[in-house]
Amino acid sequence: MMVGVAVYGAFMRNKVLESLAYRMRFAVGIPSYLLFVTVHFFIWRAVYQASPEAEIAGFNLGEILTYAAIAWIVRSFYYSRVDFEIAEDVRRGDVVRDLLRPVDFQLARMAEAFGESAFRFLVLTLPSALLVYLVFPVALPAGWIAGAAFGLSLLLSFVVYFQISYLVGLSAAFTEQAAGLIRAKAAAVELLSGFLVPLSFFPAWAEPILRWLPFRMVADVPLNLYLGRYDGREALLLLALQAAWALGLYALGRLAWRSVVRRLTIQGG
Amino acid sequence: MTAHNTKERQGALIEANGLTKTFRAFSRREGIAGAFRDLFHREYRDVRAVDGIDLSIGEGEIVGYIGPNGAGKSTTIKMLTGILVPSSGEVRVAGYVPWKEREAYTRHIGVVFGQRTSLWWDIAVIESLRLLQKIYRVPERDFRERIDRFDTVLGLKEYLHTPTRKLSLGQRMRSELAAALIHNPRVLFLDEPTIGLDVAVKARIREFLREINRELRTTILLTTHDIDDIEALSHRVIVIDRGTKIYEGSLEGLKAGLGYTRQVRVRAEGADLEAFRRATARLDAQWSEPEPGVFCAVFDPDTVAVAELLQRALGAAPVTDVAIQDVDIDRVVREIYEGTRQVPLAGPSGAIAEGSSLRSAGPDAGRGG
Amino acid sequence: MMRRAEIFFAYLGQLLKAQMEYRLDFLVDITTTLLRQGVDLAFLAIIFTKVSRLAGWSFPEVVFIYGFFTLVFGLYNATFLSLISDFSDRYLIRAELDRVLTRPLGSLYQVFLERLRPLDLNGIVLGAALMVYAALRLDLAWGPLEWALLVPLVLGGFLVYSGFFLAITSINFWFEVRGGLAGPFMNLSRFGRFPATIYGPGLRAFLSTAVPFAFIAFYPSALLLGREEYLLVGLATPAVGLAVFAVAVFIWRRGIGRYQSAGS
Repeated sequence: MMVGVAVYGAFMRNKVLESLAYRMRFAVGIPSYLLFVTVHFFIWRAVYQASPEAEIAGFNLGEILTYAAIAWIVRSFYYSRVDFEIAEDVRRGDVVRDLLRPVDFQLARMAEAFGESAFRFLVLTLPSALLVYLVFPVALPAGWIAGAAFGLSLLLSFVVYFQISYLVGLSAAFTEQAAGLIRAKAAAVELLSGFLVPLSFFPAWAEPILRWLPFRMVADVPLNLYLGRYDGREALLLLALQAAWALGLYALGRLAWRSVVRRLTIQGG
Repeated sequence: MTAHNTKERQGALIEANGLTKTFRAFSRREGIAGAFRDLFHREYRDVRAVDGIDLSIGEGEIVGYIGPNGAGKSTTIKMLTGILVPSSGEVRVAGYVPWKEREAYTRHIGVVFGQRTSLWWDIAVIESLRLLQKIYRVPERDFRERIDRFDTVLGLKEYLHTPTRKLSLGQRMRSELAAALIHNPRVLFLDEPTIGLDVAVKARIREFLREINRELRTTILLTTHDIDDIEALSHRVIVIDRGTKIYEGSLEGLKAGLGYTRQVRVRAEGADLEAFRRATARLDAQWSEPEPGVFCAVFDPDTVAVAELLQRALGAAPVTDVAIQDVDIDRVVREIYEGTRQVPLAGPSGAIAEGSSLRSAGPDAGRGG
Repeated sequence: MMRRAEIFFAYLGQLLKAQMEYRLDFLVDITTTLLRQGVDLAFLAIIFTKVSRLAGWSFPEVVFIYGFFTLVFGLYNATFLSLISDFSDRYLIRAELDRVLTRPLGSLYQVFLERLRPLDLNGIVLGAALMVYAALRLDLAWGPLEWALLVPLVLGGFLVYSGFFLAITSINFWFEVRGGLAGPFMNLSRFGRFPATIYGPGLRAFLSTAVPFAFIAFYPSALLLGREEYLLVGLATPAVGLAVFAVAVFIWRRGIGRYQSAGS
């Protein structure tokens, strides 16, 4: 089943080439991300202007602006449309083609998604980050340790986000309405990951629930690491937790794929 | 049927002078490095798809507009139908300048693009026709009358209540024709109307077009790859290649001028090309071996008797299969252009060239293949 | 005009029939739209647990503006959205404009009719519900003026929204972009959902002139919320809408002459 790593490198490379052909989509992404950050900048500014306290839910204005801006920058990296693509492949029965190849489906898709994200990182994330840094009062990572932990965490947030998308994409084998699920997933990630609002802003009953869901691995964890809110030991623990979620979801993905294959081979697509 | 009523008075119904269309094309570079270079600097070049074409087509004519892929056929049709604005030159159809007076003009034309649908995908054919009835303001009585007429030849009623997406290709093409003719247009433009259809449907469509032309005097301009379409329908052919007109006249004139329009293909594993050449040396046929074991003789049916050619070929080697076909129209036109074939650039009437006195050989001798 | 109306209803009937074939998709669509809006509302609700006013606007007022925007978007969603989201792919790259141009009806009117999605009007209900909720919380007392203005203001916002995106889409006649140009501006329209007073003066001026998204919901809502300082600018909404739409039609007409049907 396992073939050389080189094969997955090829999947990655092809995705980079494909992304190049759609480069305009990425190019128009830069102003988009700047706009997103702008809206949230103004909303948060208005919130802190209206508040009698300088600190809300553990964030001062400077921290929340950095949080909101980096949230979008991080998203520009991990975001992809693999869920739609996988759902489309499954719906059309194209995955049968992948069954015939001596390649692991899940790893191949992940390699592709990583190829796309690497491309996005170069043409979208870096330029957007630079622009946002120049335009808005965004702080750099809180220190070398925070920066390194954030970098690692960024990679893991990609893996977690990919695995969630992968599972949702595979759902197309069981329901005709995968597109709805995919959009529901996007909404869930936006709200429940701490991407729009830090988890500490949520009502007291909601926060502990959110801490036990995988979604926070996508935004809450890398962003708080960036802000240096944890010391070295806590940071390591968080990274380990993120990695554990990544692995757990990966395993779940394998199980899901197995039942998809069973379904496709028994029912003939 | 209601009389045609347009603002044109006399002369040709379709008239074009120096019609030209230039496109700006973007040339993509190869590989990762090329793609990155395209990112910053794109190279463009101008392509003349149609280059100074003159047309004059009278009312009630059926004209075949032929040429190889990319010759500029569709671009011409698109200019004549008002879809594209010409880069230069003049065009007038039924008295209108198509692109300028589009909304008034399109009332008088019908268009069928063989590879695309003009019907609404998810709704029944009759509903599509009803919508068109409203768009073209067709009176109810005329509408019913036309549906009946289309039904007799095209067998429309069998699938009138089926959504377009569930039709077979043949049914869809028949519905497309009905849709293009529901308002009884003066001119019908057909771009590859028989592409991909089976023989029976093709025959039906040709019969229908002949009838429409005869009874309603609908002028028809059609592009096609199928020489049988032209043979069955056209009064006149216009051949274009690389945007310019290279022949105008009758099909017979074209064939006569061309000479070699038929081909015999024989399969004989292990045989020698020279053997066939020697055996038919007395006849004016050109042999080639397009693939190993398959031999092909191109000849003019007016000067070479198929029977004799076949007899000699069969004697030359152990032949296992034979087919007699028309030479592919694409190839003919390509060869004319490259100068490997000579053709008289005839005037509108298409003066029939020399070889015509030899027609006694019976050109239909080996039909089929 | 009579004929146009007749054709409009003929199309509408057919499109309804076609859309009804995909009823389940439609239900799922509604659910996901609700979820989508739910996320935004949750965001606002969470913020308002920490502050009582945002740049001078209370939670119900912000919900009213948001609801107005949702209502306008519901109209846009059922009319221009699908046209604009795949215009360049469908009509330019796949050259479906060919068919449109061979028919005796305005090209813009035809593509508009072809891409109507009557069932998607459901967004209107959600928007209206949010507005009613806010109005009840605020005890809004509307006089005849406000009631008379309601429809023109909503239509004005709708014309601003669709006119702007139609104009952007028409630019595709000059620069063909796979997937269209509307994406980033779609994101820009997010600005229109919140009270424009939260933005700095420069951005607010930008949103009132060059990209007049403040007219989609904020100015007309402010008028309906009884803020007298917005009376005049709110009243201008329908005129702004007509102007933006006129520009869009102008660009479309110039663009259609540049159409280069794909292939040859």
